[in-house]
Parts: sequence; structure tokens; C-alpha cells
Amino acid sequence: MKDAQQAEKTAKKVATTLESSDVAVHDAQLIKRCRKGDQGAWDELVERYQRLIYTIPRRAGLTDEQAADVFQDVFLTLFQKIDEIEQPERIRSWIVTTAKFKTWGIIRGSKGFHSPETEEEMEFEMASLADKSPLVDDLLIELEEQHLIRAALTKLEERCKRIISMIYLSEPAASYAEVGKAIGVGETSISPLRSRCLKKLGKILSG
Amino acid sequence: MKLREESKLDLIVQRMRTDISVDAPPYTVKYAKNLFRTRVTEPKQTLVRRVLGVLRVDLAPGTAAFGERSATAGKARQMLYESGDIAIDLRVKPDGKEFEIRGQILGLGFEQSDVEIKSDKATGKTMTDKMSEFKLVGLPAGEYSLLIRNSDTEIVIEKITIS
Repeated sequence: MKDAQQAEKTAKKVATTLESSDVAVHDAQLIKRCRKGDQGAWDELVERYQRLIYTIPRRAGLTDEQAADVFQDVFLTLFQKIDEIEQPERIRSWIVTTAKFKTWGIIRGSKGFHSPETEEEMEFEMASLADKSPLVDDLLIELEEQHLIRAALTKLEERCKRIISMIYLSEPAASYAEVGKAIGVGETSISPLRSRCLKKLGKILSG
Repeated sequence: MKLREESKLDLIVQRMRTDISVDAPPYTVKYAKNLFRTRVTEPKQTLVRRVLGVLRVDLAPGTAAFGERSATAGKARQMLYESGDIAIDLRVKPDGKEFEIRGQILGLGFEQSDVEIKSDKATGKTMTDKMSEFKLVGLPAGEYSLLIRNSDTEIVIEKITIS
């Protein structure tokens, strides 16, 4: 029992360190390019964050349509405020907070409550109802980390990207035989390749 | 240190295995990308195809409509333009001293697209919705040009007289 508790503590400690300075720097560059009117940078930003933004309201229990509304609203706000964001390298946090804020607004509205008008007011109410909120911090951390891992995956070479995606991100997970066939190597080579690719991914996420 | 590294890799694996996120619907992604168009101030050389819409049908208000959708628009003047394999259904009706234009692009890929209307006296901008429909209001009488633009095609309709 103690071991399990210790493992949980270790996992939580590690969780707070899963970060990538590469990803943050790339985010900041995208924001700077957007400010200069670069449509390509904006498109990349949208592609990069679309999954995370859409997942936050869905995981909070909103319908697909409501989640789509939150998604569009977050990007509209980002578009309107892109010149005012003070720390472009922290755009991920800004996006998560905004999506959380707008999700919570819909949840409150559907329950007939008054919707707070400012972010501060909303944050205060969310904090006071933390236990009842479907968007607990642990879940948001998990979603952010999954986003980071996907962003880091794009920096791996094609073969590693494919191996990792097939084994860990496909449903159902591909067998070593299937991965071997897909990338044209023997089944027995997959285990060491998987291990090397995972280490490379870990290195990208070591910031 | 090694244990810490292994823990991190374990966490990465665990996060990937529990990742049940899905892509946002394509129409919302398209909407988000299109938002930025109004910001792009420097026109760049692009491969956007520019095509003219040609008037095929022009029905005065109260005339039998050309489709179920138009059946209720008895007070509207109805026009149908064609541009290659795309058709544009426009309905113009008075709104007080001004006019309102409702339209729909009948063709693929014009959801969440930019729509602009211009005359010497007025301009208007909007976006099409999920059904490629749009509405422009508060237009004074005059001769207008209408521009509908998605990522690779611009449809231009010249000389729409509203009176």
C-alpha cells in the first residue's frame, strides 16, 4: 500500500516536470509570425491546438455541438487578443485557461446560473467549487501533457513517429509484427527500435 | 537519475495509452483558419482561382420560385448565378428604406467563407455558415459587386442592381 502511494507521489512529481522548451519556443515563434500577418503560422497554430481545445469541453461533459462552440469561441478570442498576449511562450496555458473559462460558462449557463463576466470572477468561482468541477486540474494537466507528447512526436523522424503512433496511439494497438511489416523490418527489431524512439521522445520532452 | 528517466518514459507511455482525444470537426477547424484572413493585410501572390458569376435566372418578387427553399420568399427578388459547377442563389428584399440580401452557394467547399459586397455608397462583409448561407443587411439601393472567397476560389458577381 505504501509502495502504491509512493508510486503515485512519484508519478505526480514527474507529471509536473513533463515539459518541452522546444515546443514552447516553437509556439512563441508561431505567435510572433501571426502578429506579422502570417496565415501559414496561424494555420499551424490552429492545427497544433485544435485537438486540445476541442477535448477540454468534451471531457467536461459538453455535447459535440457545445464543444464546437467553445472551440470556435477560443480561436475567435485568440485572434482578437493575439497582439496582447504578454508571454507568447506560454500560449498553451493561455489557451487551456480560456477553453476552461468558456466551458465553465456554458456549464453554468445550462444550469441557469448567472455567468461571471470577468476571468477573475470565473476563476474565483471555479476555485470555490473545485471539487464539483469536471475540469479538475489533474485532468487538465493530463490533457496538456498529451498535447505536448503529440507536439513532440512531430519532431521525431518519420520512422520513429510511425512506430510510436502504431504501438501507443492506435486503437487497438498494433502488434510488433504489424509495425514491422509497415516499416519494412523484422518483428524482432521492433522492440529495440521502439525503445530508442521512446528515449528520443523523452529527450524532446526533457525541457 | 536513471530511475527518474525511466519514470518519465513510463509516464509518457501511460499518457499516450490513455489519450482519448479526438480531432475537432473539420468545419470548426476551417472556421478558425478563416478567421485570420481579415488580418492578412499584404496581398500576396496566390494560386486562388478567380471566376465570374453569370446571371442565369432573375425572378421578380411574387414570381413562382425555383425551388422549395425559395417558396416562402414571396416578397424577394430571386436570382440564380452560375460560375462553373457552382451556383449562387441570391434573394433580395426590401427592409424599410434599405435592402437585405440572403444567399447560398450551391457547391462544395464554401462553408465559413468570406463574403463581401461593395458599391459606391456602401460595403458589407460577412461569412457563410455551415450550410454555405449568408445574409447581408442595411444595404441602400445601388449597383453592387459581390465577392465570395474560400481558400482556393474567388467568385465575383458584378453589377447586381438593387432597387
